[in-house]
Amino acid sequence: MAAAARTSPRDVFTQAWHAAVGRRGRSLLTAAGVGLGVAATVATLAVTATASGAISDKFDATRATSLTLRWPERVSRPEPGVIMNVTRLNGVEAAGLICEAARDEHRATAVTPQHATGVPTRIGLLAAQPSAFSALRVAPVSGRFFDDGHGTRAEQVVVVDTVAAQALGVSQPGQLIYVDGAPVSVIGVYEAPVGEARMTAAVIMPYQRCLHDSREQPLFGQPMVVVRTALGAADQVAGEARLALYPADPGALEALVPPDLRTFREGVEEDTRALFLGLALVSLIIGALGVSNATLVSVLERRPEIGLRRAIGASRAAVAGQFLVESGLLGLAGGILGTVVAVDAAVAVALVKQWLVVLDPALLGGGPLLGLLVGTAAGAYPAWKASRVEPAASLRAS
Amino acid sequence: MAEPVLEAVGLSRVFAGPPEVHALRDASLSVKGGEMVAVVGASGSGKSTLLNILGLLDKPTSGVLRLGGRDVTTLTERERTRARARAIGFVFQAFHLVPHLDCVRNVMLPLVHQGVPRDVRGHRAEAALGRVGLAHRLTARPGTLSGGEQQRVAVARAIVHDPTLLLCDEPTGNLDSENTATVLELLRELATPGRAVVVITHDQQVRDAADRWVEVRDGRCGSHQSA
Ligand SMILES: Nc1ncnc2c1ncn2[C@@H]1O[C@H](COP(=O)(O)OP(=O)(O)OP(=O)(O)O)[C@@H](O)[C@H]1O
Ligand SMILES: [Mg+2]
Repeated sequence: MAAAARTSPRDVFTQAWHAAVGRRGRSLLTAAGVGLGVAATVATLAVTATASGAISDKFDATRATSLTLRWPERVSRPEPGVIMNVTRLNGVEAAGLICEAARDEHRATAVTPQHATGVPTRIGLLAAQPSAFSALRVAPVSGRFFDDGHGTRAEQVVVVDTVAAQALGVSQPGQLIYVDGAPVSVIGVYEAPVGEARMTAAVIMPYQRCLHDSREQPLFGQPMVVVRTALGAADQVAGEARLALYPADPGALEALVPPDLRTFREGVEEDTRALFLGLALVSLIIGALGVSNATLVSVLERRPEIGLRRAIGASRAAVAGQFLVESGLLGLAGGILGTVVAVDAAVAVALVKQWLVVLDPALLGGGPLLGLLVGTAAGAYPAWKASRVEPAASLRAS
Repeated sequence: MAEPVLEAVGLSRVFAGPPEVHALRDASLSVKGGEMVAVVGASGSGKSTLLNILGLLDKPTSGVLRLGGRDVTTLTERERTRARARAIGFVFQAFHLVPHLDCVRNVMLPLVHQGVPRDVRGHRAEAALGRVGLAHRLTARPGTLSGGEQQRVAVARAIVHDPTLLLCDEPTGNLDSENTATVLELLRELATPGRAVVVITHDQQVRDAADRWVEVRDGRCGSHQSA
């Protein structure tokens, strides 16, 4: 007979396919093992990618549109009108001066102790121009903000954020609190933006309190110019604003990088991600051991089949190939299964958290590929064992 | 008279122990095309050992084996696999059908592992199943067949590639006498000119159906003509 006298790769594949499909229940269980490992890996990668995408989106938007310049030490504090030089600039949407005082528990207090809620909070004290509120994206939730008139008339008015209001027992605008021993009237309450530490748990007075802060030990630090710019204009505005504010020595104005939320959160995230990836890897290894073990058991169980194939002309390589492909197929099935589960999980998390889903296409292809690799690697030893089966011994009547 | 399909001279097989077992000692046998030979003997006398050597599944410790006039004693593992695929068909007591493949796919297996083109495999497998009277059970799984039917599928598989030597180890050992008769009749028909059939058996019915029988005793062969 003029046959090729050897099993073609396509037939090796077909035989493996029939075995995997023909033993469906067992195959599914085996594939599920790999599937869990792949699902854990892909879900970890997908969820962390989506989460960091969400954080950097939020952060980039803030970062690209905000700018803070610190007034030089030992230079007298600027008059409020100076800010007009910045507001005029192209790309500037709002700008204002603010000063920050060191945090102190006793600086701002409730009128009577029983007004306070009891939780001692370190209230921050700020002085700010009205235009700084707009630059910092805050608006009153009740009452109103002070205006330039309050400042020039040196009226004893402040605004507080919701956290400070709670701590100081302020339930509505018009109430009094004590700041530095003197009574002041709270005319408005605002909600501090998330991540704006300066504005959280704070009492804000008109900028003139900072300008005329003529004590031995000044209460307020040097003023800062806060600027809100059009998207992407922050860098360009930084240079021009320095020149406009202090032409004598523009370089003396130090640009403050906003507290980098992203580095902080990513630092935390890197650790969590590494931990989860580690766990995913462990489950992947357990899955691989599962496939390996199941395939090995199947080789032992199917010794008569192997012996028969060898007797009727299958080479050792053809037998090994069949088991290798079979285990690779189970791995691939597990990989596809796991990826589907993982993507669903990631989308569910993103929906709950209202994040934009970030799915790397490489991950979608990578999950099944990972399963295929794990399955094939796990099948190597059982396949080798199968190729060693002696036909004569395995075909004895059972 | 036809040429000998199979010629074994002075075969011996020692299984290295411990304990060392001399399963075959100086066994000789010659079978011609068209002949059906029964091999009988007590349990443990060496019948299966002889059949494995004749079928190139095992190597003799000493002695010479010729298949179709060619000395196959010194073939490499790979060459033996090819010679097996080409020239020999096996039928076993336990059928050894692959449970997850249907009948046609089981019968096709020798063609698959020999690399016979796909388009002719199906026809040949169906023809072989027709030959054993199972044309109506092509897509059945072996598990759904009776013992007699399963053994007929195994016979179809053993002849689908048209081998010159058909080796059967207790083919009727798991069958009742009615099924035994059917399978025996098949084997008789398959001993056509150019093909020899060797059947190991304990069964008087089988021994009587053969052209002659050979008794293995303590690893040696003695020949007898059938009555
Ligand atoms: N792989 C092996 N290793 C060691 N001894 C073996 C091996 N195979 C067979 N034997 C021994 O060789 C002897 C012959 O065995 P064989 O299987 O050929 O007997 P048999 O005639 O087929 O018996 P039965 O009728 O019970 O099938 C026995 O004593 C057996 O134990
Ligand atoms: Mg035996």
